[in-house]
Amino acid sequence: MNETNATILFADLMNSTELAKNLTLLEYDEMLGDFQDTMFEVLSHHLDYFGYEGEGVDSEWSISGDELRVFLYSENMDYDIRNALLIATKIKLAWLSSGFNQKVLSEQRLVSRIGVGINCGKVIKDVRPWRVKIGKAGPNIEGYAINLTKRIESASREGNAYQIMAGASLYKRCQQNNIVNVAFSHPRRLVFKGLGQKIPVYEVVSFINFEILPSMPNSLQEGLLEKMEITVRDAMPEPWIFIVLLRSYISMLASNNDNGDLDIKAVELAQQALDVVEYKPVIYNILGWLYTNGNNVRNLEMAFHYFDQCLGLEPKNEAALLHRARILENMGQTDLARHAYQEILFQNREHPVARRKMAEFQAAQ
Amino acid sequence: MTLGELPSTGHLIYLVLGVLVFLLLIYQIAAQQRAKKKIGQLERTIATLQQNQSEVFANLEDRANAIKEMLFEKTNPLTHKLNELSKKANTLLERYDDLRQDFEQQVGALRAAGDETTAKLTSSHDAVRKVVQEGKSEIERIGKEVGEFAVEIQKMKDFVRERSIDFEL
Repeated sequence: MNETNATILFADLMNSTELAKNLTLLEYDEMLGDFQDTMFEVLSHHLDYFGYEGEGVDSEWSISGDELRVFLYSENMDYDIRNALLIATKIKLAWLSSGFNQKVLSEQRLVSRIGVGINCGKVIKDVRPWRVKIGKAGPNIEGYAINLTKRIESASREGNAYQIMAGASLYKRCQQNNIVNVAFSHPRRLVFKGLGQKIPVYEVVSFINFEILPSMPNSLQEGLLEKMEITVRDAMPEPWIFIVLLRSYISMLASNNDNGDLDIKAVELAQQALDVVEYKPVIYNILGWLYTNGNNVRNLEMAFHYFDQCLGLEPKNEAALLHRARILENMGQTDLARHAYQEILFQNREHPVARRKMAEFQAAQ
Repeated sequence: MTLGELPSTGHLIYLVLGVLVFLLLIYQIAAQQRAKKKIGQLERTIATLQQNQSEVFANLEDRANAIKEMLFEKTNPLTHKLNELSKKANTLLERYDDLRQDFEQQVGALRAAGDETTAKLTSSHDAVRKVVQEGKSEIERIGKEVGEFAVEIQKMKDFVRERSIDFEL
């Protein structure tokens, strides 16, 4: 018997019961087959890409019907959380670009979506004697955290951003350790069957990570960007697609992979995203970044304006504070820049850039 | 019969004929005299011509001799020089032969020594080539590792840049 910290992810097809009723048995089977193939491809590639051994050593996963279960227990919970968030976004993206959903999109119907629940907590890994008898000596994972994650996943239908729901333990871990750039909604306190009390659930409203597209399996990467672009042009695009697509554009701009007008295209998409994405600070920051770094759209005053917009909604947003301080410094407003860096240190005394800059200002005096 | 003995009429004819014969004889003699005179003139002209021809021949001979002499004078130094050059060429050929013989003798000796040296050099060269090959393989391996390391460094730099951007949005 082995007690360990695990990050648990449950995902399933939303409204699959309704789909089962409306589709023929063959059509439903085709959809499930497509779903399972897509999940298999993403999961097997992802765990290998990020160095998981699998086989019950540091992770395991299974697909059953329209449900995917993933357990990550590499003894580095922050790494597992980051990977769980990546997996959640990647399976949604892969399913969106699957054959089934592309057909649905071509018929201008609403695409099938995946709901995800993620949580972390203590679990017990134990090899049951009956499993040994049937020649499958892998450990069983048991624990309250698993039951809770399944309940959290069932709440994903109520989400309206990423439809990736997180439990309180994962939320707190992300807030404390600042391990990834993820933003959550305000908690929804839900009563789950059999738990007898209100449980806080947080929806992911923004997840910024450059590895989403590069770590996709090669077979799924081909044409993925174009499929996302088509999706955001169509009616009722999901908000998370804007954020993933804009982050990809920024990677291309930062690595000088584009000498054309990608920054103009990105600004237009970000403006469009302001109408769709409810969590706007990230879009303001993206616009600010584009106006700071874009070759064609470079305009520091506009950038400053958007970082200000972000700070209007989130006064403690460190990214916006840092950008604003840098812009002031670039504009030669030394005193204002110093105050801006000081403001960052009020929020986070250990902020490395702000500390270094303040030291430079003091040395200059 | 004489002229006195000729009859008077008949005799006149005979006389006329005689005169005619006589005149013909005189004419003949005069013609012979003129012919002799012409022949004499021709002989003199021929003699003069012969003399002139002899003079011309003599003159030509003189000229030819003069030209020959002049040519001899002109070509004689050249011939002398050519002879000298020929002598020199012969000397050079002789020296070349001597040198070639010397060279062949020396080369023979050197070849014998060279064969031995070549054998030694071949074995040394093989050893050096082996060492160089090993060194080359090692350099290639290090180069490859450096290349891979550079790629890794670039990946790390890209990762750091992208991760920084992640937190700046």
